[in-house]
Amino acid sequence: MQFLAPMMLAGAAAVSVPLILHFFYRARHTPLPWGPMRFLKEAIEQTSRRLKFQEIILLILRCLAIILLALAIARPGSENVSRSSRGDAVDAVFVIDNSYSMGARVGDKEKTRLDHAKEAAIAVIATLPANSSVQVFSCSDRAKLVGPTQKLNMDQARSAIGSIQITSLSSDLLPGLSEALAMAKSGTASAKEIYVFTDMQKEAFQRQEGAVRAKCEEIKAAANLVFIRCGDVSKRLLNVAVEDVTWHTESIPHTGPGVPFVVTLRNYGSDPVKSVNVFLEIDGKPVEKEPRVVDVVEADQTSPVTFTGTLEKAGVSVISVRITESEGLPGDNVFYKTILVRDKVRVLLVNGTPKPENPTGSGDHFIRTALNPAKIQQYYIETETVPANEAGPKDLDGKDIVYLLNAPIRNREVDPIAGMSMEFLGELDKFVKSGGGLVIGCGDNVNGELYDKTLGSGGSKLLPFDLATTRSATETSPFHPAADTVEEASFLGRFRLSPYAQSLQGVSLFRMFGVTEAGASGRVLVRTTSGLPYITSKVVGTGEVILITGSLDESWGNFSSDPGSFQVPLAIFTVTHLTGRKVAGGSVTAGNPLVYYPPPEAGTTFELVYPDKQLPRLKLTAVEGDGKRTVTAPETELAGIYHIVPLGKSPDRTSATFIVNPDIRESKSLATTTDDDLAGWLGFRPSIIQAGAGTDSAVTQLRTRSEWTEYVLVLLLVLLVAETTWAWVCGRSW
Amino acid sequence: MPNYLQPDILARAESLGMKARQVVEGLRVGDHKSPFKGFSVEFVQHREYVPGDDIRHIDWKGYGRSERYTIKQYEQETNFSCHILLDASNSMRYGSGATNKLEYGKLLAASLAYLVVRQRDAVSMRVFNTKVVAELPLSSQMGHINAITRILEEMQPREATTIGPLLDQVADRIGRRGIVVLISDCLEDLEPTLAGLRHLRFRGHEVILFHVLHTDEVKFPLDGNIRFVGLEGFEELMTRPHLLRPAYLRIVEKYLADIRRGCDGSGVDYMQLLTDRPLSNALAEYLVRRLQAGRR
Repeated sequence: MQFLAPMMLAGAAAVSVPLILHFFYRARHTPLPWGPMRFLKEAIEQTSRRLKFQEIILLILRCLAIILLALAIARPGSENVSRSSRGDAVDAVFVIDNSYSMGARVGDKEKTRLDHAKEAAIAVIATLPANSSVQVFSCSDRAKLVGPTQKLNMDQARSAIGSIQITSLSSDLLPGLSEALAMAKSGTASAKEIYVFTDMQKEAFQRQEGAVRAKCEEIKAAANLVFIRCGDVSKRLLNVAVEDVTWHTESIPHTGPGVPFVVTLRNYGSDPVKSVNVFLEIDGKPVEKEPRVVDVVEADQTSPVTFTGTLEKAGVSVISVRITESEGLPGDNVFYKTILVRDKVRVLLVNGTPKPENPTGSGDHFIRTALNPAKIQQYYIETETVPANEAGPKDLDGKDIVYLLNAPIRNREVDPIAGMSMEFLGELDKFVKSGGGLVIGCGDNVNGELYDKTLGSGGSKLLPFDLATTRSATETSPFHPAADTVEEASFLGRFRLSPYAQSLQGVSLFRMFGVTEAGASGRVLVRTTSGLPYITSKVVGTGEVILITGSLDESWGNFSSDPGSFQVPLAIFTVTHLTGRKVAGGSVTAGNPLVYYPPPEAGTTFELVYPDKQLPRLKLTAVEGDGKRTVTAPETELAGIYHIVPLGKSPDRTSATFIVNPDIRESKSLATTTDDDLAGWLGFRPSIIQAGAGTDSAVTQLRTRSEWTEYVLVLLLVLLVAETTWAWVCGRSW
Repeated sequence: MPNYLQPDILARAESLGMKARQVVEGLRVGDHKSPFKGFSVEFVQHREYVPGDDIRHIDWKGYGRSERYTIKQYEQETNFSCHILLDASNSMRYGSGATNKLEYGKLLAASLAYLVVRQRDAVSMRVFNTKVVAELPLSSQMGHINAITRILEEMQPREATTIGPLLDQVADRIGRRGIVVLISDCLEDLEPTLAGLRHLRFRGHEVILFHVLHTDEVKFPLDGNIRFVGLEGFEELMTRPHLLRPAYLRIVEKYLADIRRGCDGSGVDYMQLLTDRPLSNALAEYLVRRLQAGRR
């Protein structure tokens, strides 16, 4: 039970009045000289017990009457009581779920759940008393105020409701409830009502279950919380989603030969789905004229569909997958991925141990072999080797990646011509910061102290960690990289898995540099079993440096019986990763911001171009910070292809391209909650109304039914009649 | 004329009083012998005998002369003495103006005294509370009325009442049989009062009790919060009388029934007088009632 005007309960203190009158008050008695006192005394003796009983009954009735009056004024009601039940103005806040599960058409081919929600919201507006205000929030995993600008303008409110579109976001009611409560509290009306129009997906309540429960409790104390169920809970949703699209990832995508693409479909529902048409497009062009038809996708199963497409142009290509199904959620029927298509990848190998007379013994042998294991002429990965002491700034022209292979740094005090020149290293610094990749392999020629002073914390700060002293191991007990130490989220993550993990752990290292981890900004991607950092990385500018504390040849270790099983994937993963960094743009899940690091020449003002130009461009400004300029676009509610372009420019293959995919969490939990489940989670039973023809009358009934004032007043009336009758019977009055 | 001798009362009672005298005579005839036979008998005239006359009064000598039955009439046919006892205790203070019980009693006493003296009977007056506070001896002189009214005028209510012992005392002091009229509210214990009345009756007196009560005391129409202050020594009682009314009326009704029954049982002529009723009416009613009782 709760009270709409709890302060009025203080009126119950008036119950002390009859008590005081009864026990303490001495009424003024008129003196009267009287003769037959004997009769009077006898009459009192005869009646005193009866009179006391009558008085007690009367006192109780009167106290009850006062308590009931206070109770009635305080307007008691059930926990769902609305303060508007007597026609008071209401501050109503609508939270309309626009996660993509609201796009379902379960049981109604004509209308989506969101359409039902909108109709119900407009019906609720019609029931609001005069002078009520309305604020409308759309809510998926975030809340957004959609209007109206004038709270009392119901036409604007209806228009705002009509403007709400389904997003590609998942459900989480917490933000919407929080915003709604704050908005309701800021209102001036005493009656506050929060309506949540949702399909009651379990995920919406359970993602932050504790916080949602606490917020609902808070709302219950301040406002009337009503859930409007949109959609038929009794019917199960058939749904297939596009989970992923992959291609042969052990090579760098490049123009030319056909590439196999594997589309993974997943049935997140509990019933099989038949006849799913699958389309795959590369840069908007269908790979195949006719869709692939998947006869059936079993419940909770995946179904791969393979396409073969050709990457025709170098640059960023967008792979789009689209499926059609008879029903289900349109929101998860699309999936996008970008792919950087290269025509050539140019790698400079700075060799610290050139051996022209014995090329296989040269320090660059293993890398050259790894980058072109088949030794194909005119291979798309082109390597160029230059001895360390001959490396110059011009060697960096047109290069994508530079390998320093056991390359010494020139120490003029020791040898003025040996090792890499300062000019080269200075240009190398610029190369990395502008997006180039640098891989450093160690060896006997690497002077840790000089490296630290030149490339480390004492110089250009390219090194992820400063090099410390070398660590040596015996041949019988060498260092081994540990697969379980591989950072899962890194480009080397696959080394945690078979067969790469075995190859990684087969590497024996007899010598390696230690590094100074304290205070460094790099991260360790792989450690040895003894915990020593083996492969580390550091993002510098828009480029990245990979430091390998061992050698990239077999001078400080060996790569097992099959060197290629480790060297080749390591080289390919590394090159793929480093060249991928040069792609402007990226892939995010809907709702996450797009972060773009524009090149220096790109200016400071940009525009966000929405998918299919659904919305007008959003102006963005680059922000300086942390040594680089950053452009952030927060608005990614819709899945699709976004571009960030300089102000006024049109998107093309060179512009920053982002693909935004639906938040697949929405598809993973399609179950909706029942009224009982919800009551169980929340700890109380909220008002739940089914959206539909009777929404308005249900809301009106809810307002009036939940207040008990009338019943209390009737009870009070009965009590007063009883009191009056009793007083009359007893010959008393107030 | 004194205040207590009001013409309208007296005028009405006087005419009835004559009849009353006849009634008194009628009552006495054959009832008991007068101890004062032949005393102060003065011949006035003869009148013709009519059936029903006592043959003892036939003038046999005259019959011898004229052979007609004649009756000798005397100036004083009856010779009764009336003793009026007036209660002047504090309880008689209740009521205001004409409804004051003591004033009502005084008026009644004076009227009765006048009525008796006017009939040339003797009347005595005793005013009492716990004891006799004023007393006038028997006298049939008209001037005696003046003395009576003077005493009544000067009399103020005081103290409580003790009727029973006082009646015993009066019974012992009154030698001749006569009429004893008690004017009181009789609010003390009933049994001693009835015992006193029985004592008087035992001595051969005719006893009349004029029970003077205020309407408030009988009907108890009081309301509101009232602090009752006992007029004769009871403590104060604060109450809301309307709540007690049913019980009070029950008790009073029983009390009145008891006193009436007691009087009837003792041969005491009982007359209840409510002070809101005009005395002339009440007195006339009583006298008529006596008259009718005498004819039967």
